Amino acid sequence: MELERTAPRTAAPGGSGPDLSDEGRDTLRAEELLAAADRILDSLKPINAQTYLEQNQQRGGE
Amino acid sequence: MKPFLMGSEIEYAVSGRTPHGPLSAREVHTLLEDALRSERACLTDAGAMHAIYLENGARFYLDYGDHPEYATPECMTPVQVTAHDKASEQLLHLARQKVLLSHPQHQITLVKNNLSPTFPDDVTWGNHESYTCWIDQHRAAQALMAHMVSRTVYCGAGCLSGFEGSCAFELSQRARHVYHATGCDTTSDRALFGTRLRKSSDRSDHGWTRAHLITKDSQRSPLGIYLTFGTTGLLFLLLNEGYTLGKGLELQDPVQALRAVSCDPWLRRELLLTDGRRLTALQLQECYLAECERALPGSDLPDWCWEVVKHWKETLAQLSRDPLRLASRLDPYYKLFVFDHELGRANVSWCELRDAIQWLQRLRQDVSGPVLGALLQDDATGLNLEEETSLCAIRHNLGSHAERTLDRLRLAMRLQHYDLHYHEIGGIYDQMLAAGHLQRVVTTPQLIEEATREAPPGGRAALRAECIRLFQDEGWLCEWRYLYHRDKNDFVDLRDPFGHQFHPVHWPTLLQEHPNDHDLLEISLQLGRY
Repeated sequence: MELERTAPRTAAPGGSGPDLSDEGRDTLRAEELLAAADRILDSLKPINAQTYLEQNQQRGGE
Repeated sequence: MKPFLMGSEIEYAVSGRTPHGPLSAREVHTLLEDALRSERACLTDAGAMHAIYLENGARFYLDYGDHPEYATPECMTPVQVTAHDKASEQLLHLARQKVLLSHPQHQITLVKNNLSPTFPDDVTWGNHESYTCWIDQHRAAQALMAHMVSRTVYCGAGCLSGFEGSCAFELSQRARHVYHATGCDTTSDRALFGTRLRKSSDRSDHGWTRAHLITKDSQRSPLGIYLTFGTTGLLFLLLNEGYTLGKGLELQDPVQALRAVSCDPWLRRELLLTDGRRLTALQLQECYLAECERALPGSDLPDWCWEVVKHWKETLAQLSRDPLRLASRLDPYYKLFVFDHELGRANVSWCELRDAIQWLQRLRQDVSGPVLGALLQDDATGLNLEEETSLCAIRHNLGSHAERTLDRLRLAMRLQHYDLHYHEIGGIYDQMLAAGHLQRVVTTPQLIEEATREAPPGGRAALRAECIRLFQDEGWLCEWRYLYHRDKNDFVDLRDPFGHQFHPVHWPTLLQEHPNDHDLLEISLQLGRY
């Protein structure tokens, strides 16, 4: 499977990415992937995110 | 062909809670170790507390810094390393399930990640690689330095970042923790190419050393693990066979180049070479790939080398076209794809996200959790007077665009959660894989399951694994180089990492016959406590 990009890119980190407008064909697979990510993020409250991050704070390794 | 092995050590961040309060990482490790002991044949480590060797030849132990660590058995191919790396995830998942069955009110989180979510500049976990090196390590470092920098395009796990020089995203979690081109420190002054030879088992009179590299990220994507070990292993194999590599690819400043590559997810940054040329990371990788392609025909290199070249070439071609084409196969590009989309939905730019992440970092340093919570929820209920004052000051500092800034902070917080949860065992990566949004590449569930039970066949790890299954619970102790029976004084010599057979011998007799053998003296000291 090859994932095709669908979403228009925002001002990207380190400059803009390649313009795929001529070949950036939408695929169901990419849409499903992003929809799944949307659902996870939309169900998440910032305060719960902060609690999760704090609880998983450790001293580090090596 | 000179004998060749490779392996991986993966550090896990763990946390645990009971209804009565938090568990320490050490307590979580003990619970996991006990669970593993009941799930798999294993022997106690002869050389360390809180450590066991498992029936697949791997070692599970409490490392410095009180976190669980898993060292794969010695492997001969990158597919084996990948399967055994993924097996560590499965074994720890199994152990956690077992713990929760007997302690249903416990909460245990296992994260395969390299950075603290809240203090990424201060706290890091490692994922170390080992390769058999038959040439001087400094020569190997010189030949591979540009590879160590440019392989970042597939050996990172990616992360949100407020790091100066980044625009909110980095390909590598470890890049910011690397300070030198070469060096032997693994805990603070870390180097791109580690030259540490600490133990007698790191070197041999036969001419090999164990090259120990520490800049790779812990990855959930099997393709990333495979490519890291496949390409680096192949290059070591060629060096070991006398090939010259990396000539003309010397970077002017490898450490700065590493950071530049890490902060350039679209892979366009050009890196300055000592001869004045400028090449991108992908171009450097293509140079190394071309060297391998020239070497393979007519050589007696193992079959896995051809497979690596095929995957390597395909990956570089896709990355050249558009990195996001690998979103379903490599961790950093999955994250980049999702985060880019989420920023688009929220109408927030990457630079605005970076500013928000920096804000959050400052807030975490300066204010208490309840104040930060009150700010995010816009609800000061429950704060004491001092905290309320602090909250007012922050709101004042946010200025006239307070609501917009707060929205960005909330978004950054949620994306940071997503970033970390991706690495949690049973978290977003696993959910996306199960839903078919991510690809299984290189390994299969069956290969990974086998790797939780079996060592790679034909080498020392297989001998160790066989001994562990034969000798369990009968007074035997285990170490990478030997097994020892503390009552009978029987000793199984596995000091040759390329050995194929074992014969139990009487330990005192062996010591008498080789009174000046450094290895045996070191082992004798280790066994002294028994």
